[in-house]
Amino acid sequence: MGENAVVVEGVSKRFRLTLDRPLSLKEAWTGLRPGSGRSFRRVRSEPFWALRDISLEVPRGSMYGLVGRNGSGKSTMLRVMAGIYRPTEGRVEIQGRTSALLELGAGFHPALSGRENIYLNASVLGVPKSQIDDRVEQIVEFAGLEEFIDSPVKIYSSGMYVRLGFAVAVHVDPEILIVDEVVAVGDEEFQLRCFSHLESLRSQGVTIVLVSHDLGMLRANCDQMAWLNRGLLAAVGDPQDVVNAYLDTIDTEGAASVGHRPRSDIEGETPLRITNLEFFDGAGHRPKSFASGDPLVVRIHYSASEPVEDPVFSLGFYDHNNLHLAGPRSHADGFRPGKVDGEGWVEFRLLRIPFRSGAFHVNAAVQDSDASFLYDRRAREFWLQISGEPDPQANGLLNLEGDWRAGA
Amino acid sequence: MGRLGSTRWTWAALTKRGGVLEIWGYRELIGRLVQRELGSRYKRSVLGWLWSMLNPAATLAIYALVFGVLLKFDPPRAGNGRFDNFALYLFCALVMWNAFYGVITGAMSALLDLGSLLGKVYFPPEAPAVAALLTVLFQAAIEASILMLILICLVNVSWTFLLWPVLLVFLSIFALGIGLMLSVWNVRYRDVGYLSTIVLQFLFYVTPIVYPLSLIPERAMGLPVRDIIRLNPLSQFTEASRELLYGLDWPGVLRLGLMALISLAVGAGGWLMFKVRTRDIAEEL
Repeated sequence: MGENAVVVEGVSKRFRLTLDRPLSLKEAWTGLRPGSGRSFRRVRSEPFWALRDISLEVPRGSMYGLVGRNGSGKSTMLRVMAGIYRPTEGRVEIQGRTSALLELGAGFHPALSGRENIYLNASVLGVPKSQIDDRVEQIVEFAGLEEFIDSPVKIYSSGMYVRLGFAVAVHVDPEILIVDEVVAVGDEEFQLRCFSHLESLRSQGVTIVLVSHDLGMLRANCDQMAWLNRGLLAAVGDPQDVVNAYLDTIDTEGAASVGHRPRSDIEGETPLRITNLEFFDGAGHRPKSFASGDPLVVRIHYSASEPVEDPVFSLGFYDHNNLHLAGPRSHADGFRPGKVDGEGWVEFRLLRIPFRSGAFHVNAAVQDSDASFLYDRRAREFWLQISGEPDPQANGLLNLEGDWRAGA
Repeated sequence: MGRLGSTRWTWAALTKRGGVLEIWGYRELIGRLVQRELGSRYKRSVLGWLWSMLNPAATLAIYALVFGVLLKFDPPRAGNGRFDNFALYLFCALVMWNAFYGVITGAMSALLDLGSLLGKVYFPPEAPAVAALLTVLFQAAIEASILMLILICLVNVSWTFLLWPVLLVFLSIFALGIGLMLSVWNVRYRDVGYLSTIVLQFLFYVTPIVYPLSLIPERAMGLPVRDIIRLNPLSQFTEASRELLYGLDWPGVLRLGLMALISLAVGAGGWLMFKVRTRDIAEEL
C-alpha cells in the first residue's frame, strides 16, 4: 500500500467526435459519406483531446477537489480515475476498492426496482451479498425511499435517483470514493447530510475525490485541489492557492473582454457608464490580493456622454455564494459628486477590510440623483481577493471589530 | 496500449482489473444477473415456469408434425434397436441448436441492454454475456433432462449419456466466442443484429436438425453438398448429440478432439477479440 490512493501519470484522453462515424456496415465498407456527393473519401473522425498530460497524486485518506469550468475535462478525469475510460496516454494507478458516483442514476438499471439495483450495484462493486443484506435498510433509510424501494427506478424523480445513488455509493465500504457534481441535485437538507457523511467517511480514512462548483465548500473541506482548464492542469496543490488562481483568471478574462466592448447590464444608449473598477491598497498600489484588516480603495471609473447632475454611485459586496454582504451608496453616506461629464472616477475608501479570507465579487452601479433611474450596472465581474490562512478558530465571513468585557 | 499483449500469464495478472480473466472477480455480479434474468422470466404469466417446457415442446411438436408426419423423414433406429421416433431424434439435435441460438442472441442483447451501465460504473463488459450463457445453459439443462428422462423410460440409455454435458460445454464455448464477437460489432453497427437473424435462420436449415444427414444427396448442383454440411461445425455438435443420446454411440476420440479444438479456438479467439475491442466500449454505448 503506497501513500497515494490514486496516482495519475501523464494522462491524456482523446475522443473521436463521432458525428461522422459510419453507422452501418455499408458505410464502413465503402467509407462513403451518404449524400456527400464526393465519392471514395473516407469518413473521417476528428480527434478531440479532453485531457492532456495530467499528473496528479491523491494521498490516501484525503479529500481532493477538482475545479474548472464546464467542458474543462473534470468529468472525464473522474471517469478515467474510476476506470471507466481508458487513458489514451499515460497511466492511472488506483489502490483500493473504488466507488464512483458519476451522474444521475449512478449505475442503475431502469427496469429493476430500487432494492434490486442496490444489490446489482453492490455486486458490481464487488461487495458480497451477505454484507449488503445488513446494509439495505440503512441505505433505504439514508435515501429516504422506504415507500418506493420496491418500485422500478425508472419512475423515480431525479432527486430520488441521486439520493439512492449516493446512499449506495457510500454504504458499500469504499476505500476510494469518486463523486461528480451530482449531489447538487438533492435538496438542501440532503446535501447537508451528504457533506457531513463525506466528512465522516474521510475521518474513517476513505479517500474522496470530488468535483464541485462550490468553491467555498471545496476550499473549506479539501486537503488538496486541482484546477483543470481546457483539459490542461492549470494549478494543483493548496486549496487556497488553487481557488485564488482559478478566480484570478475569471477576473482577468472578464477584464480582457471589457477591453474590447463594455459589458454591463444596461443595453443600448445611456448617458453615464461605469467603465472600470479598480482596487488599491493604502499606498496607492494595486496588489493581486489584500489581507483582511488592510485599507482598501475601490475606484469606480465612469464615462459620461452628456452632463449628469449628482448621480448616485453604489457598490455591492458579495461572497462566492452570492450572499449580499454590504452595499455602500454615495448619497446615503453623505457624498454628492456634483455635475459629472466626460471621464472621471469616484472612490470608496475603507480603513480596514472587514472580510475574512476568500474571494468576493464587487458590483458597481450608478443611478440618477433621486435613485429612480439606473444608468449603468456591472455585476459579477470584479473580484476582490482577500488572502490569508483561514483561521480555524474564527467563524463567519466578517471580522467585527468589537471587544469583550466581563462583569459580575 | 498493448496491455493484453504485455500481460504475463499468471493467475494474478489475468484476473486483475483489465485482465483477460478479470471476470472471475465478478462472480457475484454474474450470479446476480442470472438471478435477475431467471427471476423476471415468465413474470405475469399464469403458467409461469411451465413455459420453459411448453415452449420447446411446441416447437418440437411443430417440426415433428411437418417433417416427421407430413414429409415423412425417416429416423434411423434408436440405439437399443427397439424403436424409431422422429420427434426424439429431432429433439436430440434441437437441444443443441437452442443452446447455440440462445447464447448468440443472448450475448448480443445483453451487451446492449446492460451496456449503458458501463458509462457509470466499471465492470468487465463480458459479464452480461457470460450471465446470458449461464441462463441459456440452465434452460438447456431443463430440456436435456426431459429428453433423457423420456429416453430412459424407453430403455434407450447408455454410458454415452455421461459424455453429453461435455459436448454441451464445448458447444457453449463455441457459441460464446461467436456471440462475443458479434455483440461487439453490433454495438457499432446495428446491422449485425439484423444480419445475424437471417444467417442463423439459414444455418438452422443447413444443419442436420430437422432432417438426418443421410437425407442430403452426396452431390447437388455439382457440389458435394453433404460434405459441405458435414463440415459445418454445428453439424458435428448436432450429429454427436444424436449419436450420444439416440444412437447410444461413441462419436470417436478424433471427432471429439476436433470439436474440442474448434470450440476452444473459437471461444478463446472471440474472448480475446472482445477484450481488445471493448477497452473503449464505455465511450461507444
